[in-house]
Amino acid sequence: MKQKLPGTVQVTVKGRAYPVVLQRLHQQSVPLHGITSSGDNEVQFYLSYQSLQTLRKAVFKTGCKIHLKRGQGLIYEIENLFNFKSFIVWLLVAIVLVMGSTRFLWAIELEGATPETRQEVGEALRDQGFLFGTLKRKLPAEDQIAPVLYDEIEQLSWMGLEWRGTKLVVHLKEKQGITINEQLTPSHIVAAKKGTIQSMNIESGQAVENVNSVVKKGQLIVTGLVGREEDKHAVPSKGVVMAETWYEVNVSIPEQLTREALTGKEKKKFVFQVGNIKTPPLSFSRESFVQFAEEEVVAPLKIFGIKLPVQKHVISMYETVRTQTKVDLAEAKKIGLSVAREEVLSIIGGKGRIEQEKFLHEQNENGKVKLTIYLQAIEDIAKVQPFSEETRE
Amino acid sequence: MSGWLTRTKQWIGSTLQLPDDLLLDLPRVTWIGSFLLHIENHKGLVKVEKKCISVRVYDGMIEINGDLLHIQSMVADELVIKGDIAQVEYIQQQGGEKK
Repeated sequence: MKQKLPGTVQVTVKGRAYPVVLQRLHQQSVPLHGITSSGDNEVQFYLSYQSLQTLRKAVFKTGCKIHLKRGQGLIYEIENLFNFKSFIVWLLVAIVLVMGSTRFLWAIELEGATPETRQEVGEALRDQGFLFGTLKRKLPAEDQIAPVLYDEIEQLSWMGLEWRGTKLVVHLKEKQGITINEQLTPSHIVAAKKGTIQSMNIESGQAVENVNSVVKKGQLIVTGLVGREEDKHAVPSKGVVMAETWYEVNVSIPEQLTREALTGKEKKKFVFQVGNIKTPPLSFSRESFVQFAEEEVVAPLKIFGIKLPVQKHVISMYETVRTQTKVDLAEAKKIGLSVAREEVLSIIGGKGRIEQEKFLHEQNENGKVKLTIYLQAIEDIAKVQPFSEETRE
Repeated sequence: MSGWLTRTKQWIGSTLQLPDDLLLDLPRVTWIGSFLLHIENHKGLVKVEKKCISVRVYDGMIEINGDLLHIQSMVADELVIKGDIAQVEYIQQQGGEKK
């Protein structure tokens, strides 16, 4: 490579026989440039880097002295590139380039939401100046950009910006379902059940009943007509009415309970599956269980952490023993109560609670314990009943 | 080269209408203004000085006098001399050898 690169050498020939040197070079047809005399019996010229060899032969036995000096050319430039000083310079340049480039935004990644929303957000961000290659500093902050996006894109419910190096990750959350602007119509609150009112928390509307009054099902508790007699206007009523209600639950529990218990014995079977082909179950133990529970775990077969295209099914079989236990009355009551509580709680919902429970009746019949349990609960009995303004009075 | 050969060559040249410099290996000197001298078909340099440059040619020497003379390039048979050229002298020597 070095042989072909252009480059010149400045040669100074000193000696009385310098014409001989020039003559020999001419005979070898070496191109010379810029021949000047630089003093007495001294001549200076430039010749290409490649013909230095010929120069040596030309000077041979002439008694002339030669001085070589670096000229110009690509060859020197390239040599310069590889010396230590310039290496350091290039290193610094590279570091500066890398550091500099980290100050810019290079990519935007949108995560979450549907492709349509992502597309819309991407366009909106572009409008806001989030373009590739812009300075990070010049980008608007999250609290500036978020309101604009929420405004522009209806489906967007939340967005968050996260910088990962030079990549901006935008997390998106979409609104679930359709948002309805609820137009509340004027309404009363009536009792959903019979009960004694324990507490009332009315947000809007006017209470008709007081605390501790007993209400029947469908009785008006809160009216949506507010104001003085002459000047009433309708409002949507809203509120919570906690009332004491009663439940009677009938539970019957068999005296004999069958239970399955594990004995602790375990057996494993292996099935290997390639595509749709399964091997017969392989087992290492010869024990056979009369009753057992099965559990199957499927995982790809791995060897040294490399997944093979083979599925391994591990079927664990646990031996079980069915035991029959007799339930006495106290235990039956306990079980019955918990069943009854669960049932009532599922009816009265989250806000309600059970205050009191009482066994009203217990009967042993045909190997079954029949229980009647009385439960006193406190629950929200408010039921919104809309009315139309025209029909009033 | 003996005289009769030269004369024969000259005769062939004139008959075939060929330029003399090609046939006889003679130099062709082009002098542009006073600053550039172009010598083709030279045989080498004899002397290079600031005020005087001597160029060997087929049948003698060409001596260039002037000031600040230097040779811009010497490639194969071409020679370009630059400087304030005052005088170009053709010193003929029979057979290209010094007398």
